[in-house]
Amino acid sequence: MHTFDENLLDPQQLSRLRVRGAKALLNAGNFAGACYMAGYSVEGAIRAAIAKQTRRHDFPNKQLAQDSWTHDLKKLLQIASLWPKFDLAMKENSNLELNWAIAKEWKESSRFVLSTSQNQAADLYSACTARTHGILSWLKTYW
Amino acid sequence: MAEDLLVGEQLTQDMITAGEQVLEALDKTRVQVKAAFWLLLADQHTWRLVMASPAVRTLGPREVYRKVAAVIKRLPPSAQPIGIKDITVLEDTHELVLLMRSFTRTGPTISKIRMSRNVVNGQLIEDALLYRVT
Repeated sequence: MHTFDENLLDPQQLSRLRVRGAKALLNAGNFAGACYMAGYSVEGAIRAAIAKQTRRHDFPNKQLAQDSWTHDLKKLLQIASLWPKFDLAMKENSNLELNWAIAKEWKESSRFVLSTSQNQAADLYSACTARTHGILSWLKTYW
Repeated sequence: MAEDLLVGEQLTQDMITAGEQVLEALDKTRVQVKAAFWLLLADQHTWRLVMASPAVRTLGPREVYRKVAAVIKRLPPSAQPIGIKDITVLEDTHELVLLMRSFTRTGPTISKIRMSRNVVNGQLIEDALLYRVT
């Protein structure tokens, strides 16, 4: 059987992979799984932005590396130094603010919330992936 | 419109008043708020206004956030608006709501019950201000 190590994928690829996974799970009626994957796609995109700030031959900043292993999306945006820009963007764009209101609730443990409804999963998926005002669409300018 | 209310590590009188105004305004809509409280998110060093409604399940969180945002927009100019990034909408059956329910029930009115460093069902609630838990 073919296997691959997720760590070998770059964070951008991983983020796109998670979006496809979220869509497939949503279509299959696995709403908790769809939420898990959708949030992970945002996490991957922020990690990609953090990785972009690191130069190829940089010696890794231990604190930054350790802090980056969080699943808290706001903390990750802060680590990526993107939070002030994102906060400003939300003030100027109520659709982005609405999408963040939904996405900010994501937790890695969401896959265990079996009571997740279709509405909740579909809303989180669209908050993350909406073409014009989705969280990923905003993040892609920084990764 | 006025600048959004500053929500930080301290629960201010402005935050308490603003939360109450949002709840009062929501009560005049079809969004049934079963629980509402400010909760300290200790790990994030900030407070969050939590609103629990069955509409989160039936309509989805997007629609409920949209309704909350619309209500905030319609508040009188003297009111300091809360940004929806500082609000969390939950199903009324969410475990956090159940936890608050096991601590107290206020009835459908608007109360202001402070609970600081309370252990409820083995879980520490660092700090919270309850407007309503039904």
